[in-house]
Amino acid sequence: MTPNPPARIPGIVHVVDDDDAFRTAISRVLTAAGHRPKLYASAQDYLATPDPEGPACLLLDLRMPGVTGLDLQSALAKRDDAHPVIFLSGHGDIPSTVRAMRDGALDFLTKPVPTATLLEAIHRALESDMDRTQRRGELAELKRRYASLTPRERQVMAGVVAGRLNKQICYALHAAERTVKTHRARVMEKMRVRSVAELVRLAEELATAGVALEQVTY
Amino acid sequence: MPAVSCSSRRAPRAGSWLFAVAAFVACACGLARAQVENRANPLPRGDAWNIVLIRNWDALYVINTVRETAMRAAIETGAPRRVEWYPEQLDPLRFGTEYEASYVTLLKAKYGGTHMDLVVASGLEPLEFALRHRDELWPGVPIVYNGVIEGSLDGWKRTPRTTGVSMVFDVPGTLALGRALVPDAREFYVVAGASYFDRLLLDLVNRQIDRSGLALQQRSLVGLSRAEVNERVAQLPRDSFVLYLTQLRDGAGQLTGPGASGVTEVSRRSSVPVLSPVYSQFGRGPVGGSSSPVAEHGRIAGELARRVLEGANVDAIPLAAAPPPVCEVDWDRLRRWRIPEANVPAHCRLVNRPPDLVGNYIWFVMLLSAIVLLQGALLWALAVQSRRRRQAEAELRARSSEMAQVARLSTMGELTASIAHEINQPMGAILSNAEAAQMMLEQGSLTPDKLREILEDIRSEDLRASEVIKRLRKLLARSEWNLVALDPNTEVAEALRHVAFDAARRGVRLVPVFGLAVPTVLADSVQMQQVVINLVMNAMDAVAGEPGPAREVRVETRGSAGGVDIAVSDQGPGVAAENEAKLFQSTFTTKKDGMGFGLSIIKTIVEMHRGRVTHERNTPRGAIFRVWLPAIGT
Repeated sequence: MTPNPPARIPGIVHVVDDDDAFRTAISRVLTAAGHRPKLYASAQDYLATPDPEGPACLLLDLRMPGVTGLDLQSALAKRDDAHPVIFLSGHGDIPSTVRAMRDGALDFLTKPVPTATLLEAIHRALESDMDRTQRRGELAELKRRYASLTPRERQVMAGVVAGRLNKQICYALHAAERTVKTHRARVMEKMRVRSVAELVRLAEELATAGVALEQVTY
Repeated sequence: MPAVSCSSRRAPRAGSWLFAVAAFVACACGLARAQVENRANPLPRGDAWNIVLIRNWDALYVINTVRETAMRAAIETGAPRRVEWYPEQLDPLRFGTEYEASYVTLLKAKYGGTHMDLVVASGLEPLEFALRHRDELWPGVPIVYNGVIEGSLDGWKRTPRTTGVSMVFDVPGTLALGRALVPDAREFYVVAGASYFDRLLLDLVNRQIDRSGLALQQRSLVGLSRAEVNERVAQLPRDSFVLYLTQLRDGAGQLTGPGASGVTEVSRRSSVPVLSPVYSQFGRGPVGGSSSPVAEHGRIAGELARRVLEGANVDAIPLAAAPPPVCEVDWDRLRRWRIPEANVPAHCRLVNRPPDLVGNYIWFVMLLSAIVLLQGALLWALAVQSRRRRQAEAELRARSSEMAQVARLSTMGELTASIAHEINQPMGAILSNAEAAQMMLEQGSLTPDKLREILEDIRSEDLRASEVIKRLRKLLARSEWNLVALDPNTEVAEALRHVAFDAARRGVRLVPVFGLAVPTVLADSVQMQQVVINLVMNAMDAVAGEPGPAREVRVETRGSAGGVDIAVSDQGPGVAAENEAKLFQSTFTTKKDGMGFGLSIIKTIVEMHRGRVTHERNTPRGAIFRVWLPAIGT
């Protein structure tokens, strides 16, 4: 067996498994690898505990009495602040695997799992969690910038992003062309972009993140 | 060969009393009437054939009754006249011949004036008497003799108007028979008395023996007293037999009438088989012998007499030869001496067989045999049927066990995920513990306390895994039908352990409700658990689509009607009404990928346990499957 190097990204690993013995064993491995394991005997326990920030991931048992691993994953998938999920199962049948993967599970491991494999999966999960945390931060900044726009500025921005000329925008908004030009400059400033192309990319990012952008009908 | 049937010889002996009384009465009456009629009104000549019959000894002596019966029949049957018999008796053995002159005087007075047509002399002494006194008593009347042993007339010059038939005591034939019946015989003992008749017979026998050239040593038991003879014959060597002649008077001078021959006593006491050449002794003790048949002898004499009476020239009728000797063997005696029937020469007749079933009771025997055969056939058929049924039952059990085994394997296939989980859970813990310890060791953070703790966990997880495997092996092992006393609650609990993981995976709650007073049942543990597992898995399938609270399967046991009720109930959609009837048929299924063997195998297993499985609707919805098994000893 190859020696396991210390974790490159130490993080929090939420272990949800109804099997006491297995939880204990896994926590020993994780601790030895430099992670901070947090143990839960059921999905309900996990949901009831506030999830602190930081690079973290979930190690879920597929089968548990009450709310199963898959049920928990489905619930978490609806939240945007969920950590990546790794499934660890005694026996993964194909339907369960498919469902888990479709719902965004990062990995699907089978017990007994070699520690190297487990730690590799956790590493990827924490990396992914960090990326998502970062992306989440960037998106929050974008949203904050967008939120700082006045309603008129958002309307002008919608026109710019849609590729309209200033004349078209002022006609649609029943405003003077000068006024539109002023709003346009304010939008570029507030959104901290220097080109229309850059503004379009941000608008797309916001739309992807589910932010409802102001719409103008021409 | 002129056959003397067994019955014709035996019958007179058996009915001799009746015959004797009838004959005596007839004779007495006839005599009385004749005398009365003689004086008053003499019979006209030619009206009847008057025959004087002179016999030796007693009329009831076997040889006399048999011979006379045959002789009378030969004379009287189809005769143109009736026949009057005038019997006279001589007793030379007891009285000698001193009274003969007086006797002749008496007879002269008796027969004077009565015409006689024929004198029949039965025996040597009667013949001699008739020849001596015919001219005086019955002048010119022809004589027909019989009962004279061949050879005793040697040197006799045939007198006019006399004819007759002699008889043979076939000594060579009797000795040959003795040798056949006692193949290892090297000697034979001749028993004979001391009377002149006994000696005469012995003399004739000796002459015959001289001619026979038998390679047998002859020993003599002649002239002894009866007691001595009886004593001697009891100690004869095994490789011998007795040739019994006659003992009319024994060596002690004691007389015995010929009707009470000593042959029976000698035969009873003898240590070896007794044979006799004297026909009248056949059937009275000897194993057998060869002799002229007396009835045939009488018949020939009768025919001669008839010819004479009808007017034939007596002197032209040749003396008749003795009828050929007949060899007879007594079946009963043969068995007494344990002589195989195969030893009996082919020309000898076996007589005195026990009642001839086939001959006399043929229909009864056939009917009885048919009944016995039918009953036997019936019994045999029943036995065969019963054996076949047992075989079929055993085969059915074996088949059912095999089917149940296959069904179990299939069930376990469905439970594979759960089983793998159950085993992999502890395996995973073991692996992780071991690797954690390794990592800690490399990092130098492994304290002895920590190591002890980890090792203890590894050990207990290992035991847990092996426990699961052990339990599974019991369920999956190909097991023979093995009925033992079982506690239903234990079996149900064990069955539920098999499906617990699957239930957890499916999010189904298993609710066992164990009855308190549940009787012990006689069942196969594995098959009983299989029934519960299958019913529970069906129920879990039924509630799969239900919302959380309804995903529950109840397994209830309770004592009921001399047995135990195991009810598996759910609150699923239940069984559609149109499917209820075919629920327990094999290959009926509502499952997309089911084969439909589950319930039919449950039914088979339960019925093999003399139990029942039924379905009923649950309230408000769902199904209850109820298995009833009889309590042990019911």
